[in-house]
Amino acid sequence: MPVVQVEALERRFGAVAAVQGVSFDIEPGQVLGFIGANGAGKTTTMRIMATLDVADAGRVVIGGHDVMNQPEQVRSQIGWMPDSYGTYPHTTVWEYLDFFARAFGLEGRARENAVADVMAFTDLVEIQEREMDSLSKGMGQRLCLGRALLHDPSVLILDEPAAGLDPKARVEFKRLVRLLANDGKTIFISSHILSELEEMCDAVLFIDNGQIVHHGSAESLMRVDDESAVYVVSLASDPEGLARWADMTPGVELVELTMKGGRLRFPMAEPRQVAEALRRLVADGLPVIEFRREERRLEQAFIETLNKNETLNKNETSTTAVGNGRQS
Amino acid sequence: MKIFSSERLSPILVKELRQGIRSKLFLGAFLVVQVLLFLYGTTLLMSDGFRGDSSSALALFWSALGLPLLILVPAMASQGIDKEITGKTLDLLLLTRISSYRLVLGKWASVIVQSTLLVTSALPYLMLRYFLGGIDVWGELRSFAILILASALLAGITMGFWATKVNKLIKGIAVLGFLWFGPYMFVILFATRRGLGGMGAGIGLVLWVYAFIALLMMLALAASRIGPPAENHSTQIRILALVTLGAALSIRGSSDVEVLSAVFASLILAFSLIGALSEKVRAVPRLYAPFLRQSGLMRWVSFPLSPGWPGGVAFAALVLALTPWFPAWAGEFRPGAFVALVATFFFPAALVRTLLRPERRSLGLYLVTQVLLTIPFYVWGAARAFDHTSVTYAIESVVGFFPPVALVLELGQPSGYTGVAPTLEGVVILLGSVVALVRVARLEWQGVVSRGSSGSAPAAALIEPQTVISVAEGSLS
Repeated sequence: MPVVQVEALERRFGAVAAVQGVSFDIEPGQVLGFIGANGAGKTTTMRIMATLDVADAGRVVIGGHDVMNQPEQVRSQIGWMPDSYGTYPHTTVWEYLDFFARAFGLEGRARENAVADVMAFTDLVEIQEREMDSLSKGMGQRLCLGRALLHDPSVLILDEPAAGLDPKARVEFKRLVRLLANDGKTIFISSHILSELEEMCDAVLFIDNGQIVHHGSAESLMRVDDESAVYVVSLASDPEGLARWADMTPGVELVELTMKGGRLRFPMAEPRQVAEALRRLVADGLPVIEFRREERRLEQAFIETLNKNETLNKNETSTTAVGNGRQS
Repeated sequence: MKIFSSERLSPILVKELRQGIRSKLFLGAFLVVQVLLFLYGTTLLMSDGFRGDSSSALALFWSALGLPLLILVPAMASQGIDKEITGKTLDLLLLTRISSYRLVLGKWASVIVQSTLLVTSALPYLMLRYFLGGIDVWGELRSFAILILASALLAGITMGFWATKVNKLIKGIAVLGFLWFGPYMFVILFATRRGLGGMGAGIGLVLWVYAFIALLMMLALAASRIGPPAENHSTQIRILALVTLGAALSIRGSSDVEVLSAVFASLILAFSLIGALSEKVRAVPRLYAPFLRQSGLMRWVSFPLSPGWPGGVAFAALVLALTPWFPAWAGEFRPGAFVALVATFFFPAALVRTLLRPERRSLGLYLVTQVLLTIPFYVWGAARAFDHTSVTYAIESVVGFFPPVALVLELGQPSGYTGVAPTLEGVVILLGSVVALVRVARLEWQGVVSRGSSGSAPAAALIEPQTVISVAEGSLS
């Protein structure tokens, strides 16, 4: 049974529909990525899930509890990490965590253990006496994650947690998320950096203009829809030879030539046929250094999905207009 | 490291104290108090014949304590909630087990503790005055307590007011004005130790009762502004207003005491009525479940306490209907003024509810409408000043029916005013406002509890009353 159920969620701000009929489920232990441009409705959806906002219509159930009518029960099950967290002046890392542990109702030894555990997990032990104001962005994000983990929630809602992190901090953050996923936490994470989600998530959810446009694994999105496959071939000599070879070889099309070789398309990407063609490429004497199957990057897939959705919407609008015209 | 590790203290109090006593503002205030008291002590010791109970000594001593406690501390408190909002830390707090009311209460309590710390640091100088001047120690200690209480009251009220969604410039001016008034309030409270002027000792009790209710109301208001949408603070505010009403109806004494009681009560009630009439209806079934769960008569009785403006209309009607029974107005009931008073609250509400789109129906618009409706009064005043009899007559006979001008004209009884209320027109305006409000309120209330007919109806509108109750009780999986 899904641990998170979102059904036909709607949220308007005046005339603007921020979220329109969003529905999805998250299975226990799943890491679900949430992708969308600025203003697409990610943060609004996440805030409703975190009981911080109220939907105009629809329903969110987390761990069997309705977020609107049983917010206290939901809050005990979720850990929320906003896109930017505020700091308290004159407050050390330890004091910050200790305060939130108290606020989550932890007492005595249980509180001390919880603070010690999250500091150890997020590698904050050495900086526990430092004031929050003096922390780097990466340290701050680890502290914020630690705070979200204090009450041992089963579901983590992370809104753009890696935004603004340097590459090292980003790698470290990804490692922590994977560790949490391995520990059985259900994680719902949004990001602008799509390649990050590709590595971290079991599935991704694309939102555009408040509507879900794709829900599935990152691999399924990156796979080209038709049965063809594109291979990048690198040569040690003149790439023109590759063009001539492609002309003479049936079942192979040259997509383009590059400085060091080119891209070949196999319209029927049956593995045996591709293997045979590549064997012949070498056997025919071309100085092949490398060949590899090209996959769409998630960014590319994201943009193509958005474009496809936009075209569909336009067609739907024109069809409706034609229909209305006929009716009238 | 673990300076404040007591398990018994509220987490928010611990946090606020950790931050507060390390802040430059508190340290600055503490140092200023110490410097002033040191100068005071030195002057006291070096001057011949300078007694601790002389008027100069009293003025110096209480100024050194009064200024930081009655101006600086409330100013600090006013920023407490705002800092959490602008610092983006509020959401994180609301997701813990701390309710928004406990959050506000914790912040307010930390201000009291800081005030107490400041006052306690003056105790050695109090002893010095005692040895030099033979002052009444118990009386002075009582004044210390009054000072802390006054500081706490001002802090709570500024905190609540600053949390409202009113424009920051307006809030700033209002808080500054209030803090300017603060020291005078202390003087009044201080003076009530011996009675205030000729008003008698009972006036002190009246002041404290209303100040305490106002404090609780402002704290609840602050909590309502920052709380998550599923929290209900309206009922608490309305119950406090009913307590105010009860106090105003039952406090009896000299005519001065009764009039002052009526004035303070009216201020608090007006504040709560405006809030009740302009409060949005939130599409959260659990807010309404406790009221819908009641059956028969109890559902009607509890309806005025239900959150949202439809319940607010019933609440306002209930409160306004009882105001003629204030002891201060005994034997002076004026039907014209009463009609104008009720219409003053209902007429702008009816305009806002019937003429504007739902998303625009807010407290700000209610107040703007109210202000716009007063414009004829200023025109009337100007016409009177320039002796334009025809204009004054026109306003009195046409616009003067409309509240709040009618109320101002009726209560003020300015010279030359012929009096237009009660008239049939005034009653018609009031009844029209009530009918319009009840009609729209019924529609909105039905939207909350029954199946909505349009797609734009709130979420709660899609749920039957019984379902609202079962959802709120968590029995719907």
